[in-house]
Amino acid sequence: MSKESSQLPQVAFSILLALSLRERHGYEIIKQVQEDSNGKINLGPGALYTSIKQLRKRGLITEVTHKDDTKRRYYKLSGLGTKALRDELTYYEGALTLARKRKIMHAFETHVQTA
Amino acid sequence: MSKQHEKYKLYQAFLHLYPRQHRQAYGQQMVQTLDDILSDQGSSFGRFAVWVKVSIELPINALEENISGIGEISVNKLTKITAKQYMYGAFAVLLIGSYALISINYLMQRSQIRALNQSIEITNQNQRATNGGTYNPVSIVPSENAVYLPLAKLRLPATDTNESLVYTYAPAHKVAGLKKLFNAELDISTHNLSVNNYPSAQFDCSEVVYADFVTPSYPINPMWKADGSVMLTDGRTMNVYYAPSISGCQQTWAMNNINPKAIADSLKQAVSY
Repeated sequence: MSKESSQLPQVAFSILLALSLRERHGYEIIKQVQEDSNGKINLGPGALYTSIKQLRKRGLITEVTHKDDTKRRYYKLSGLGTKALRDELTYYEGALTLARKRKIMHAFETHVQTA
Repeated sequence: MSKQHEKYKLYQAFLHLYPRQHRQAYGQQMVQTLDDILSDQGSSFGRFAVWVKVSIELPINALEENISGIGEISVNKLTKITAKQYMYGAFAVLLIGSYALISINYLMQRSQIRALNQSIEITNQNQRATNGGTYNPVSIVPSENAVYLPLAKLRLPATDTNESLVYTYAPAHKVAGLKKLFNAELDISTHNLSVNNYPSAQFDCSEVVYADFVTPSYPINPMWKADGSVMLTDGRTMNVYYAPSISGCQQTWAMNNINPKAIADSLKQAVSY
């Protein structure tokens, strides 16, 4: 397992994940986060821009403008953000590997079936 | 603000709950994103659901922003709102709204009860006056140029004759600087209003003018001929009588600078209020 530990709250992680493929504007981020979380995370404009502000403050995302769409601001991962996302994914991957190794997931499934 | 965003004036007004810095940096984008979300909804119900969600999220999120302005807190402690929290939020909004409605209703009822109590108190006070107490004086309202007789619910336009008209039992209520002073008395049991120098049940020189109120349930003797009648807005008729023909009285009135006809005419200008 990686020595990295989870540093990002779930919403912040989801936004970084949504921006991993391409830059997006506010509503595109909301839709992508909703899709990635199977509808479990449904951000409103207030929550979204609070997270965006915090992520920008930490230097994890940057703001970009599109000359074709001047009304909306777009956001993309910064170098630091890419590294943070990679570390986070590595952490989750390590955790998942460990869970599989210890057959924790199998134990959960058995527990659910017998419950 | 673009024309497209003018329909979000209320939402923009609520954005003032956020710290200024946050509002300036992200306010316009929040409106734009809300517009994108609403434009993507296929039904009225979908748009309504978005508005409900936003109305719950906004105050919570604004609170978070204000708190984080005081001392840093971790990202999304409050903004990750679960379905259960939305339910609690909606319940809180309903609860507070109901409480506000009940409070407004309660205050309105209290106001009505206070007005009613005040009216009852005036009536009681005037009824006590028949046993030797003091009547409520008329209200003289210079700004309206009017005289109010509360128990009779009459408003008289102020003239040289009646601006000194007072509504007391005895002695006469004196108003400084006015030459003519008369009592206007309302008999609780007979509804008769009399204007005279001294309380008297006699229609004599002391009773300069006499008025009574005729209602359908309380008809006046048809044999009595009034010197003038006033139809009041509450359905009553006020009949005014004066006694200019009684020999010997004119001299008494002239000595006291009293013109009964002028007093009677001024009473005929009365209106209900």
